[in-house]
Amino acid sequence: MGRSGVARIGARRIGLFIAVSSAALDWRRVPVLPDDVVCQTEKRLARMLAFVRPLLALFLIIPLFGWGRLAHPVLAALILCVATAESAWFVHRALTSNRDLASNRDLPCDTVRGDRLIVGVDVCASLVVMIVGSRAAAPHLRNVVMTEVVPFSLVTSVTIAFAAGLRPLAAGLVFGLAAVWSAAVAPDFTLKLGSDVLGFLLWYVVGLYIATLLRRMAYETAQAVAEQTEIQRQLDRALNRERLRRGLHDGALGTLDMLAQDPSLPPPVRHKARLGALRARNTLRAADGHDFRIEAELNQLTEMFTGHGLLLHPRFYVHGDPPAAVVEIAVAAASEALNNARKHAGEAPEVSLFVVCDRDRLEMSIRDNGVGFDRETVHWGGGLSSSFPAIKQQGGICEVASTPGEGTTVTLRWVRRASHASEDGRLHR
Amino acid sequence: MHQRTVVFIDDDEGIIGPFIEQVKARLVELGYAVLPLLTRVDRVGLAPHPVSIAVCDVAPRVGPEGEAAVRYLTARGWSVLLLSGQAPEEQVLEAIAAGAKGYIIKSESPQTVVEAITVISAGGRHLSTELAHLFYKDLHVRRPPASPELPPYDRQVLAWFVQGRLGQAPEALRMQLVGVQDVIRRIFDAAVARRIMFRLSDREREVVKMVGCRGATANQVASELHMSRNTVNTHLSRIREKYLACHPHIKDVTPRAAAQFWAKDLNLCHQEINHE
Repeated sequence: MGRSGVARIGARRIGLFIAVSSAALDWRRVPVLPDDVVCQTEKRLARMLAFVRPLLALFLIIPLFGWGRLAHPVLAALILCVATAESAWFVHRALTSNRDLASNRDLPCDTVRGDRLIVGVDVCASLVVMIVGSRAAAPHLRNVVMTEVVPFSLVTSVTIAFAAGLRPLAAGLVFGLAAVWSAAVAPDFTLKLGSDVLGFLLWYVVGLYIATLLRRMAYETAQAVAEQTEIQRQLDRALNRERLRRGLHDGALGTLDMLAQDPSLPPPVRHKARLGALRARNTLRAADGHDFRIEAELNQLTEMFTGHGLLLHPRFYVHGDPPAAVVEIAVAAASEALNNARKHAGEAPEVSLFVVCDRDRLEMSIRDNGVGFDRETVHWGGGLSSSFPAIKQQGGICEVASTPGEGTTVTLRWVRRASHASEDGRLHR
Repeated sequence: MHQRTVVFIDDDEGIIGPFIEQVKARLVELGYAVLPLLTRVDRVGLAPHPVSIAVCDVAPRVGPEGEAAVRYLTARGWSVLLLSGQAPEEQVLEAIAAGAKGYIIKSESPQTVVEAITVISAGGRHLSTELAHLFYKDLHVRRPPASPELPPYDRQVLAWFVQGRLGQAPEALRMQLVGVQDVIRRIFDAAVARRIMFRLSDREREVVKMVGCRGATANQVASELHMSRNTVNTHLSRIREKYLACHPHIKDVTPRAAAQFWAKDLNLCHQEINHE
């Protein structure tokens, strides 16, 4: 097992530990029932708090015995007053005044559960006692006084745990209490420690910021460059196409067109000229296309048949490639139909090859204006007959329509079936 | 006397002459008056009759061309039939949007040109295989759809035209004049509507010519066209926005590249180069 495997198992154990311990500490995950046992327990918890809160306030009397040695003994008296008052309110709140609060929850009894007010007041009281109490003694005696303050403040942590539970804000309050305590007892040390810890945190944040900034900049720059390159590529393509068009238009095309129409020339020459002009136009059309496989194959097919002298007009509207099997069948069918037209349609037929397709559908139609045939009497098809079952298997159809004297039309249609679409979708995911 | 007149405008007289002679002979038989061939659109005068048809090359080397030529001629009362060897597609479609009644490539037979003139004389529009191809491609590829979009039946008819299923037999010609003519009108209207929304203004066109054909800087454009730098930049950003709106598959493009693309699409550099 490699190091990464060990690390992964270690990480998994830590994750498990956190999950288990948070489950053990988080009473908020324990469901609430409107039941007497539950209510009694809530009451016991509240009573527990109401008991320890005033009891531990008694520790604040002790500093008053050293009245003469304190720098500001009045402050020691003051915190005793604050603690006494807060404890009285606290006991009252914990034992009696929670009916309204409880009625909003599913628990019809007294409880400190979720009581934000009791937490807020107790934290404030603790902070006052800590900050003011620490000022009562001179710095070298501060530690002595604060030892008597500790018990009072520790109860606040229990209050937070009972009332607020395991949540980020509660943890923040506990941390805040500890930090203020530390600052009250040893301000210089806390300042030093705090600034250093803050340093660690800040460097971490700065590191995160810089890394994110640079990585995002790099990503965006790369993307922008790629986009610009693509635009430039398209522009170059458009320029080349325009150059090709201009060259053919201003050069050969006009001449060929007019030769093809000139009645004084012998028919074979006119046919050659017509074919030449057609091939030039087909080349221009092909240059305008996209990078789809089916388009490339159809263009190749067109080139081959015009090369054999067929007056073939390609009309392709391609927005995506159908599955390879369908493309293969379609191209084979087109090839057969064109072959038939070349052999059987008569003298110099004009043929249009019309294809509209995207990923999910294909419509192809090969039409000639030749002699046509009667389906009743002529066995027609040849190689095309294998296309019928092939496209049927893919969920499409292939048809031949012909009337003597009016030419022949071969049509092929395919639409992606819903089940195919979902299979495809699964593959893509 | 003649009630119908035809004029041909093409600057390739030597080449096109015999072709036009053949068309002319048949038109005269049908009772049209045919004016002598002109080489520039701006030499054409006012239309002499309500039925006057100008058969005009899409991109002559001098004088108004494309949509400007169509606007020039229609303003003088002519119905325009476009003729070309192989003009850029966008330029043809813009000229159609400007009001041309048909477009034929020069590989078509003289008979097709005569048929087109006949259809246009009767107040119709002529949908050649090539123009049907441009419309069909336009429907599929670019631009936001016009509203209302072409209904399925009209699309199917358009597909038939693309394949040359209508338009050859005399029967088809009859159909062009009667029922199919309504469909053709809707097809034309949809194509026109698709263009009008994002058509470049004349001023934007001048900016496109300078930036896209000559590679002029914004400062040069400002001083030559007597406008402020800010105005030039506003024009350029509109040019870019319109280009992106017409080509939804293109994610982004700089204003200068957009000007270059427009110039290519609309064949705006054609005469710039000839001037040099």
